[in-house]
Amino acid sequence: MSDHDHSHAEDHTTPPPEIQLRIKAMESLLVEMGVIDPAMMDAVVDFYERQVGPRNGARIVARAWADPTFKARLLKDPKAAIAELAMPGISGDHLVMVENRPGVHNMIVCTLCSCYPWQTMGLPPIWFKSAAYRSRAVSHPRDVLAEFGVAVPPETAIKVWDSNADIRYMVLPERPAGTDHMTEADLADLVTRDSMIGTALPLAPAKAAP
Amino acid sequence: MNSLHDLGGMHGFGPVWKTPEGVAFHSDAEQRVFRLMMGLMAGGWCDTDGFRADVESLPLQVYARECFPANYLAGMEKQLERRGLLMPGDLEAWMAGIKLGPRATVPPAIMGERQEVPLPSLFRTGDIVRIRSINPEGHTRLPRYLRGQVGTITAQRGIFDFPDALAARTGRRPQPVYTVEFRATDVWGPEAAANDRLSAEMFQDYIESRVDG
Repeated sequence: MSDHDHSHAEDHTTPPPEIQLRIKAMESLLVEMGVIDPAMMDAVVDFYERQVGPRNGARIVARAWADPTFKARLLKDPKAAIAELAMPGISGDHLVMVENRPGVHNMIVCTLCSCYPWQTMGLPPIWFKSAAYRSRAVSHPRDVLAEFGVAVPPETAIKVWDSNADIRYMVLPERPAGTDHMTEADLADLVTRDSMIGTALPLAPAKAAP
Repeated sequence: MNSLHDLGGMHGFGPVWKTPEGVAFHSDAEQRVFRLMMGLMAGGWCDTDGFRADVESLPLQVYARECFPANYLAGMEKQLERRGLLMPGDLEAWMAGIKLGPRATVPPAIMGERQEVPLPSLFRTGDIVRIRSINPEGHTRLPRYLRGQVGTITAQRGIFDFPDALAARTGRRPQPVYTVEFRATDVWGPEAAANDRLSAEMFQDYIESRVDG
């Protein structure tokens, strides 16, 4: 992450001191009033911080790459197929998988707020909520992809999915070349969060994290 | 509501920027506000559609700062005021050591419990449809850039409650939801790529009619 990106993440999540104080005071007051349950809230935070995240999605994608019959089931009925993986607490409710294939590149956005497939990918990255992304993902997808370092040839159609209602989208990226020998677990390491948003391609085998 | 949250196609926000993978929360404030929201939603003190409407109603210059925890806190405060749990000034008073008077102890129901019959499905996959041109002052999930456009229904997603009615607290108005695909050139003009497509969900109430031919 560059310093530029780091300052963006901080700017967009660090309110001025008086607001930070207000957040803490609100929390204390509501606990005192007995309207929120700290133990329940801690459990939810723990779930999204430690148990759910893009690695869940990566497992789903790797299984689809490794097993064509699973992939067919996943595209047809994501909820049932994801249940086969028995990931605790994870359901594919209202999830739709959109498949990248030669000639078609998919990308997801929520132009109105920040709708995102929490169950399979965790909480959305800050940039996904940003005006810079939400404004141009629909009108200038090729420019946005270029800024993310993804060159899409003119003959490839870009399909942008605006998650403006209850359906949540996840991109099934194309399996990279040169991965025939790899195990499902190793394949999962090639699947980045951004490749399931559609703003990146999966890692090439040599560049995968060890 | 035609406000700054409805960002599709707007200009002037600069190039995109990225944040790293593997970080659920980027700051203490972000985590605290998320935690608070989960607690309030679980207790019925905050609802998704009402909360979105309240965040969208923030003053433009506040929304434009894009300080997400600050905006979400403001949205939650409005939700609590609507439910009679807190009144404006309560938090300041409590912070100054003043005891608050009696407040709501149970969140009022957003709407009646009655089961409403879903609207009958009027459209099918493959239909070419025109989206309504609307300008509601209240909450809607119909983005401005798709109003009045013509697209093709590519999927039927089932029956869902209507967010516009939920946020206005006028009922559930359950109805069919369709995925509609649009040509990028129809929406943005000839500068868009001829083979690019946009898809969004359309509640049946957002669809004006089938377009013949």
